[in-house]
Amino acid sequence: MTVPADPADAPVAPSAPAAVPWWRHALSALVLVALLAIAAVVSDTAPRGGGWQAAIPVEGRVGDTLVGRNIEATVHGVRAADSVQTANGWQGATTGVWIVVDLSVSAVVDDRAALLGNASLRLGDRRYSASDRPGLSALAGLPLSVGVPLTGPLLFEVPRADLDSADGRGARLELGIDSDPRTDSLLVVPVDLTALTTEPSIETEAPLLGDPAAGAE
Amino acid sequence: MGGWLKRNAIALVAVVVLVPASLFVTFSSDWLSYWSQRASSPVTVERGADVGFGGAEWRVTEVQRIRSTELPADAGAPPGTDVVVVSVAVSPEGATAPSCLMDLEETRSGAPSRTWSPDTGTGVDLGFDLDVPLYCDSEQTGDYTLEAVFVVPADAGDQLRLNVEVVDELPRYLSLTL
Repeated sequence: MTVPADPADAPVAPSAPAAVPWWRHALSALVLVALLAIAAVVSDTAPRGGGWQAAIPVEGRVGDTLVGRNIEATVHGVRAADSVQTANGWQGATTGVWIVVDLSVSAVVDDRAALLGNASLRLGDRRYSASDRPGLSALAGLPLSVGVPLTGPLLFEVPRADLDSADGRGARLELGIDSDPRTDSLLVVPVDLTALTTEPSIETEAPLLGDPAAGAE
Repeated sequence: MGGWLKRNAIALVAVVVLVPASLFVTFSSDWLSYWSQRASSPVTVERGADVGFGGAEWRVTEVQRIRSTELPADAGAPPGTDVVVVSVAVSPEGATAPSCLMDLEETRSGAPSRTWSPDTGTGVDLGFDLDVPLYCDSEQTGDYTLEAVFVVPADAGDQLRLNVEVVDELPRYLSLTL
């Protein structure tokens, strides 16, 4: 008796692989182009070098109230003088010139470790820190109160030539809570030193905590 | 597309599981350490209530808010400020009282809260006797009442809390409603 062969066991002729539809190639190409575009945008906009930890500038002009994360300040005026005498009797003579910045500054949210730790004048590539020689009669390094302005002078000793230089014209006053300005607000006020008239001498007032106008009400 | 997902299911699941796990392992130590070393978990207490915390019983007994204009000139209060005096009764549970850090917190809707440390820089003189503690006094061996003095701007609101940090209790801290 002859048993008929099972059709399932019959040898099958090899067939050609199914052709991939054209739209799948197109989709793959589109996805690739999109990924390359996203990578290019990310690469182009990512911070470079020190940008990862750069200070966050808050810029304004003399007279503006600038508010950062935990520092608020108003520059009332900028003067230049050959010599300075502060409220505690300290006298500063210089072969350069004193830049006197009249300032009100306070903390915004927290007074723990809130000092005016960064007060500097940037002239081109040079950076001059506010002088701490006048001690408590100038604002550099003094503790700040939350919401209670501390008003007084900052003193910078700079070369006299900068009163008539491109660096002096583009000078920038920088203020921050910490001497290390990274990853925190940095208040920046452009100051044109070439527009200042040098006075022979300036006497500064002692730093004053509080708002005298509010107290007079 | 469905076939591709099925064929690569194990690899895809591995990516979904391993990427977050890798991020957690990489950053969790620093993250948890950061939060565990600072006052980040308040123990809220209503005004007038006693609470045991950090080795002592704490209770706010009185809160005074005085405008700078109401103080004598020789008190030295900065113009445009209020002086907030918080009286806190402290009952040590052990032989000595705990050390602590205090600050006054103003909560504001829609804005970050503001905090003030006890008056250190302005030197406001309210005429307290020299033996009245103005801070936590770890040398106290019995019940005592401290007077915490804060100088705040006159525009500070009324939503005030006194926060008490005891190092051994961090990240928990006491937050007393005033």
